[in-house]
Amino acid sequence: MKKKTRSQQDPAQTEQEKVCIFRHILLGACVLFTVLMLLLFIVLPDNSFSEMENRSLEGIPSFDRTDLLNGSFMKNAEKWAADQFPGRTGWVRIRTETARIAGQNRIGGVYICDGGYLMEEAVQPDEEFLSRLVQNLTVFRANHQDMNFYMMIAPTAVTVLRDKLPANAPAEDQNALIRDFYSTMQLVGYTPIDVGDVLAAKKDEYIYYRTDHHWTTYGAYNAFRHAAGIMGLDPDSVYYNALAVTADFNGTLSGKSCTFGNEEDVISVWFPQDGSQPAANYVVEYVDRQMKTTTFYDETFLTQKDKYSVFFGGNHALVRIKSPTAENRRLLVLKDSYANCFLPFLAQYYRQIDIVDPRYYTENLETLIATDGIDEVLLLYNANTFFSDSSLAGLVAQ
Amino acid sequence: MTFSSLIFIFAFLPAVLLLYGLVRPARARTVIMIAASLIFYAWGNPVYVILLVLSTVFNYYAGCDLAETERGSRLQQRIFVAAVIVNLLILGYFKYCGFLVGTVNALLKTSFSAPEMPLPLGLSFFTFKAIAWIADARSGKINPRCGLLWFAASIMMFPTISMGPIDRMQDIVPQMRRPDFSIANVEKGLVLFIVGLIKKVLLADNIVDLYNSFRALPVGKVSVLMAWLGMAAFAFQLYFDFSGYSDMAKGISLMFGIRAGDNFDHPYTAVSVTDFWRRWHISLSRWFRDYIYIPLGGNRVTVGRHVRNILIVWALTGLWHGAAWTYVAWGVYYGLVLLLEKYFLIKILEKLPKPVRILYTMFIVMIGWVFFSSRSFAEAAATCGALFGGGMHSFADSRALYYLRTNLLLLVFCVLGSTAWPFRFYTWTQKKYPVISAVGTVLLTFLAVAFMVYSTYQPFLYAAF
Repeated sequence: MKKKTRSQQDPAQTEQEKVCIFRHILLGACVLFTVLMLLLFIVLPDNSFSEMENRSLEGIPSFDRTDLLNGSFMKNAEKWAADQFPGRTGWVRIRTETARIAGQNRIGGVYICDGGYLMEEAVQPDEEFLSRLVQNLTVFRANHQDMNFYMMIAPTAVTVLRDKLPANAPAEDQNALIRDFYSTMQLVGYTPIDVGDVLAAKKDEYIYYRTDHHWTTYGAYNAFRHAAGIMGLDPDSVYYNALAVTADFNGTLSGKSCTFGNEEDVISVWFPQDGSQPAANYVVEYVDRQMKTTTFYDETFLTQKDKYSVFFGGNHALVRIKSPTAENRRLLVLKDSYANCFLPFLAQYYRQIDIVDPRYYTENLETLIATDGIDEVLLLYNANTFFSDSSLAGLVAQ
Repeated sequence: MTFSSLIFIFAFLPAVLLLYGLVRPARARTVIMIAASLIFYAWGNPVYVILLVLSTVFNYYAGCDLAETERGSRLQQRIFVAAVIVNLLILGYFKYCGFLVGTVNALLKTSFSAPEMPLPLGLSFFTFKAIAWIADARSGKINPRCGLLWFAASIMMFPTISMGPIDRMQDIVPQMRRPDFSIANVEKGLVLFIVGLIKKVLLADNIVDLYNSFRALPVGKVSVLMAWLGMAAFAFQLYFDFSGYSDMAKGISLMFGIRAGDNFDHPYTAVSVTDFWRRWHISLSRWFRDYIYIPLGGNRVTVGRHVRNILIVWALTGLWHGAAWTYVAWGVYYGLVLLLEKYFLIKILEKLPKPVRILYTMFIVMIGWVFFSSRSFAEAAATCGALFGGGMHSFADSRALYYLRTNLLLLVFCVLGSTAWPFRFYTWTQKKYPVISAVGTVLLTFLAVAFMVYSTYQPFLYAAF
């Protein structure tokens, strides 16, 4: 009896065979993939630090009774599996690219904008936060009626460079928030330094980094010139040369947005020109490290990922800059990292500048003010940190 | 452990499958299933696994007692009531304490405080499975003396312990005795699992961002379009998360040779609210029908009684979903709509074209989701106001357009994924172009893995900056 040819066979049977092929391939592929991932996981050594995420990665969890009973062993095991998953960065990259193809242009709270710019969305403080901040700052000022209190809250790129934002992006105007806050604080004796317009005038120039949430040294300089007028300093007493110290700065926003292949940034350090009125010889004292140097810059950071920390080596609880100036003006600066590239411009006008970062400073501020004979106070922040970080209100309330 | 965690997919599940494949006897496999399920359960909250074991043992022996006492006797009645009360007390203690205390405080102006403790995994689900078991044991529908081993494995089995489906244990126990464990079933289960994984990881977990953005906005800044986008996002997230999980549960069960029940049947294509509830969380509706509605008399009573029965069942359904009055209101809302449909609307609806019926159903369902998702009646009212554009709400603002543009493709996939077409198409490609279909499935699985890895990504910036 002749065997049926394929075309004469029951079509349902051929279909069934095809489905079987489908299922076998799928099962085979999944088994292979699982085995491969497990092998790679076991064989490859554990990574201890993630540059992109700026955190240390979980290692093998410790196995003891208490951890088992309260569930922390399991949580750590899951974190370990996730943190050490083979090809982690590659997988994250696939996800980012897919999200962008699907139309997303805001990832991890960061807008992906024109011109290769990444911009963090604007922080919206709640009523409770604002009232506590206002209250504590008011009390702080009231305790030192004899001193000048300056306040500079800088808008970030999301407000100043808003032309570059994706269409219809719902980004709030930080200038409105800042000016509202200024008008409240002005009533209790703070002198506001509004740099919104000054920065807006330079919006087509390189005043913010593309891949980082900070302003460039040039952006800080423009703010300084405006601030100098208000603080009674002569901005023309020193002229500067801008020196690029690195051209491959990949900043915080690359990691936060999980985007890759961004055009890298240039960090410039501004040195006083020889011909200008000579800048005094500084001594920079890092109180927490018990170290003194004569430079504002820490070049070891230029070979690491966080190149912006070339300014003062990042944030410290307390840094003192002492310069033999003619006038004995002593300034206290309460600040976030935006101040790091701004402060070198202030150094030659003050005999001593105490730089305090409320996120790290745990001592008593009043004692510091008394001991160091402070006569002026400057609050120097970017809007996002100012309106979200509660350590400032906590520090001045002591 | 959840089904969409890396450790489950790459370590736990393959290990248990391997063990199943290595041993032959059903008894040994059942022991493996119990052990694996205990590990799975303890992984989330280690101490509560004792509760699960105690509840299982208690309910098994309660069932046996009921079978041994005379049917319809006083004693049997007492045992039954006691067993149900024990189950409900456990459920009430862990889930409804805060709700009860809060309500008493609101009514009597007292300020009692409730003990705060996390909810044991799957408590609502396995409690209902157990109550069904003892109810059927009492009515003689089943012989509950099947052996503690099989019963325990059936009620505890990790594929269905966390989110159901609330299958009848008498359907599962015989399968546990003789699991249909085969390569073919592993393959079929795998396909179903992947479909569920994609629904959850690629659709639900992404569209939820749109809903969260909507909820984060102060009420005055919400335009009508934004409100509809936000609630649509909620509707999709809830559906794809829950039905994805149910698919994964069914798929994993099948991999172990157990056929679990269906829980969803494209509910967003329903042509009436009555139809919707035949397609949404099917196992729960069935439970309420069999164990509350029919014992109360169902619809074989006077109209007045019938209305009462429906409202009781739906109030309880709402309460089961969450310990808050908004959930109860959600349930009663559906009870009323279902009554309206049964007594008036169904005749009108039958004459309308299908698209209109679907629109009508979805409209009712969306309003329902407003109550389901709101944390208070005030919030629900505010959301309804935004949906219907009362006064201060603009129709479509720039923000809503932004979210529409950036989520458009995802929303389109969500709408398509709610219909039966994608799965039909997928089954057709499996038959016609098996290799392409397999490759496509593998690629989508890779994409799901990428999204799962991303969800563990945590940039930690400001400590250093």
